[in-house]
Amino acid sequence: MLQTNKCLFVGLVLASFLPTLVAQEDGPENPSQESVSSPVEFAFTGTQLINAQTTKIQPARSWYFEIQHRFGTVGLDSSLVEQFLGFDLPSTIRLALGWSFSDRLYLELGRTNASKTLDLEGKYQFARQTTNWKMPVSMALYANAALRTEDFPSVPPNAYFGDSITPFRYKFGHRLAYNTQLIVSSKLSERWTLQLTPVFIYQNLVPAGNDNLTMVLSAGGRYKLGFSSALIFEYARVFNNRSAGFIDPFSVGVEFGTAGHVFQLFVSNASRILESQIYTTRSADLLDGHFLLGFNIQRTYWRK
Amino acid sequence: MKKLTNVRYPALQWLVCGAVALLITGLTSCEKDQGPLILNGHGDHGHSCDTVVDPPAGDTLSYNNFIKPMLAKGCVQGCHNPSHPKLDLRPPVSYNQLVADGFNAPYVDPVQPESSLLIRHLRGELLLMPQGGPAWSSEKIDSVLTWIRQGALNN
Repeated sequence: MLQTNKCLFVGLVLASFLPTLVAQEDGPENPSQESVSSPVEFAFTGTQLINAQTTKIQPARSWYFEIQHRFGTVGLDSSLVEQFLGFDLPSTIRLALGWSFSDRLYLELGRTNASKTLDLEGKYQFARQTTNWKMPVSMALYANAALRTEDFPSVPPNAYFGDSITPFRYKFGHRLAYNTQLIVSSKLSERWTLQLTPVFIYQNLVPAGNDNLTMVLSAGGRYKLGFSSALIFEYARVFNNRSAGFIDPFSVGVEFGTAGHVFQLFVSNASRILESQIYTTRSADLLDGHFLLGFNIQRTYWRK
Repeated sequence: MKKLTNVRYPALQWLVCGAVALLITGLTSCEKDQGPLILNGHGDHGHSCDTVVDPPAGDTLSYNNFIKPMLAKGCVQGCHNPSHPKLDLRPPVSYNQLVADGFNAPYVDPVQPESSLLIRHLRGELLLMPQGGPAWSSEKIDSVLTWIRQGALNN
């Protein structure tokens, strides 16, 4: 029954995106006809702003490959040198391959080494900001289903579910976690783009006492420094499931875009990559001098 | 805007409906499980023959002088080293791993020291550590508890 439900879920993910595969037109707007209300372009360079998603979709019918890397956390002490800025410590890595079905929709398959997690994500941009401000924001819906493939640890015989009655045993469903986001962004000027994203994370299994649903509000933006470079930053506020001493993730970095490439280098306190892992684990204490370095690289291959 | 939604993207309504269905199905077909919760786990795990390092009475217990060496001696070899996917307890990184970087960090909770993951693992309330035993002596666990009670400082 459980497996049927999961199949149904994955089927629905795909089915909900299917109509666009056949119905959408691609290609740029005709500038002579659309000059009054043409869509705003270059609000973001990549589909990711450090850890958060952006409203950006890569050009229609393009492949892209993504590498996300977070080095180990170091402090402003001897570990900085001993661990060579965290390069010597265990890292978190995610590799992903994506395909843009149109200028508004992509699907991406990824794998991260944290809990050996496979994930399938999709993003659909359903509203596009226009230059005449009739539509002041771009909006996108994002969904991600993550499957933990790592073996569960063994549990002692006196382990129970949260109800304290049912003997605990792991099920396939416990491997799954979902996150859904509504991304709202606005390019305010040539240099400034800001975005706000409510994130809903659902984990099928959480530690006793926690809610299965975690709610987060992420805010971030981009300040263009030059032709191809920008300052990027983001902060997320986690509203529930905050264990003692929980710290919200904060990141700041720089971004370089070239034809086909996006490079992002940043300082952060979140050592995970998937939202369902970042916002459910404690981040390092930046005020205490603990931080990590990370980078995202996105390479896009498109057809003319 | 009318042209954008109605002519160029006729599938918009389909997609919004699909996304709503996805959200509803996702949330209703999911498990809503919490755990594992270990009950009646306070067993007597016997006494190990390890040397117990007694901290000086009345002083703040130093992580670097007492706790770090105990973790290095008891946990790193064979298990909690860089090859472990969740927690690396080698001396240079053990503190950061315990408070921030480990998979389930923080493993120490100065507000509720008895509920710290580290303590619950050492006592066998969660999966007993060291795995397969023998458990640490209560004196050793108590000194870890004292260090957590004193704020789990990197001192």
